[in-house]
Amino acid sequence: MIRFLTLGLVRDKHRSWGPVAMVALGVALCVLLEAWMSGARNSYIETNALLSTGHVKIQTAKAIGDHQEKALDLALLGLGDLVGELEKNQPDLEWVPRVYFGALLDASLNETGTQAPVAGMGFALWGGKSEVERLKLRQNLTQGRLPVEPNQALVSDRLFKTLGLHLGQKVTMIGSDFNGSMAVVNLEVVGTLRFGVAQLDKGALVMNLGDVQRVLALEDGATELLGFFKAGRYLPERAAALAKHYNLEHHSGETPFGPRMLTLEEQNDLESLLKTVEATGAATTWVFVLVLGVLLLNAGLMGGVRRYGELGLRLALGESKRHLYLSLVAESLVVGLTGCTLGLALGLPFALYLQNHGLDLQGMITGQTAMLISDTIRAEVSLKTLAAGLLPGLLAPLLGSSLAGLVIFGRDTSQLFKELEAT
Amino acid sequence: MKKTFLLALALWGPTLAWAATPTARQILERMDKNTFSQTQVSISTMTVHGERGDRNMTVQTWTQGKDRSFSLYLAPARDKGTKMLKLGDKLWIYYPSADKVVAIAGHMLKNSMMGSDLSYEDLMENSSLVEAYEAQLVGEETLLDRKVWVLELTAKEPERAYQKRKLWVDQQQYLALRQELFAQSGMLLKRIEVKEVMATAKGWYPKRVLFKDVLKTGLGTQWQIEELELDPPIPASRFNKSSLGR
Repeated sequence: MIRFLTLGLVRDKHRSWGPVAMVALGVALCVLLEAWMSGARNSYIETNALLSTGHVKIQTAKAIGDHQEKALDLALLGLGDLVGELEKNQPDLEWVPRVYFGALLDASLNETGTQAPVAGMGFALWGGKSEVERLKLRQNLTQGRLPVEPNQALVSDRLFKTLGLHLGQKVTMIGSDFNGSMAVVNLEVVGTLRFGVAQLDKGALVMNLGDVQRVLALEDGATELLGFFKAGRYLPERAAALAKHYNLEHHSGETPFGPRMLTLEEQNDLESLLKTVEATGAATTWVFVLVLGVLLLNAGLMGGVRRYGELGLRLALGESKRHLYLSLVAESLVVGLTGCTLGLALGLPFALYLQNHGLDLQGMITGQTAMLISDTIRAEVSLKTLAAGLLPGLLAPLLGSSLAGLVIFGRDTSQLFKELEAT
Repeated sequence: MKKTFLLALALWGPTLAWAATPTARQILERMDKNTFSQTQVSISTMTVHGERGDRNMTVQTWTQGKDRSFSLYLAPARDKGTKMLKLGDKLWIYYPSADKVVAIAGHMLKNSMMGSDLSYEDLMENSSLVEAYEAQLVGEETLLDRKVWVLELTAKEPERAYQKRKLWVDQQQYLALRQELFAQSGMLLKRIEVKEVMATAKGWYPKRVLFKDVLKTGLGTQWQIEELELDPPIPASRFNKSSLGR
């Protein structure tokens, strides 16, 4: 039966190529769009989780409430106990303290001279909890090496050029410490890096966490404590449950400097963004289904007019209306499958190309946003991508033929021969 | 005769009393005289009552006139050896941990000095109040059981850190027991309260003062003079940039 229908479609190009081309194009677009949206969404999540939000993050209630997440005087204290408790109670997460701070970098040798503002970051760069691998610091190095001893630092490429530095040069970091006093330390620039995130690449200064804590009088403290699921991916339901439980247990919000846990979505406006991306993805798929469905319905109706005689003859020869209707629906399935195959063949290579090479949007991201956006966005091909192509590809012709085929039931058998004679 | 005298006293008394009240300018001049000496050497403790605990610092200060001072932080260990030199409208800080001299200028002057409620700008006040402000005596009050004059000061120059000040000046000791410092907009920026005074050869001197930056959290910074020597000889080299350094 399928072979018969397929042969019919192949031989009668008028009723197959148009719909197949439409379906193929629609499927290709759906596949590309889903892969792109999914890649962008995951890129936002990954970039923000790695560099800013973690999968969950703990800060003081006051820092969160006052929206002064990077304020040193609102930092978490008693970090050792806090991490110990979390490691005991939440062993499925890895807990990572970080210190973010603002400062000036002075490149002159004696008194202050050439200075530039920097976004300082204190990461564990050596020891058991090193973040070098997680942050891909080695891969992000553009020259030089990673710090291996105290008072060594990395700076972003742009900052390196702005200050006219050279590797091995001594610079002075001038900032404010936890107490609000001035903090001054000499550093050796041992390498430069590029995060691929415009907000950070403007003026990043990366130091070992221990150095930063010592210089900023924050020995047992950090501006934030990030939690990453050891599973390696973000688990939204688990994160939400964990944060709820933790905040209840610690009466978060009742004491200004008590710890409070936030999930990834609760930070950097990510919740609304992720919801928008999800909704846009779903809406796009259904819009394609509807548009393609209408187009194919139209094609089916046109086909019905063109095949008016053929359908009448088949009814006159004794084929039941139901059988005829089902054969039209089956035909549309063949059209859908063929279109899907061609559409996937067309869309997937593009999607895979974007997955491997990405699209550099540097310069296109303008305006202020709390969210960290990677300069290069990559598509992400998954089973969901295939489903996003197959669903409209199969549903649309089915919808079109199901509606167009209904005219069959309106044919009057007694009039068939008269109609045939007339043609 | 007696009746006539009493009548005259009733009529002229308030006028005579008013005539005995010094003008705002005279009050400011007396205040300056009270605390001014050619040179000063002091050891003070500064306690910052922060939102998350107290922090104590000890500093030795050499002062010459209004525009030269040199400070050496003696404690705590973290700040020990930090030096500040003020020469006119220039300020340098030496950080021993980095062996670095940092010139404090521009927006940095507005920053908190050593995390306290004082800014570097406060340290840079070179002129006396008489020179820097137009003063107006607006009334008399009782503050902490002491009679005070209330003065309102308006800066003569727009560059002044505080465009307006309100002073409550002790009528006997000629010390501002309370000061409120305002921005041009009228917003209160700082409050200064003298908590304890001490007698010196020249008059009265504020011994314990509470500074409160109202834009900052915490309970303020207490500055207490532990030792004070007025008009001691200070070698000129003390106020030289070469004194900054190890």
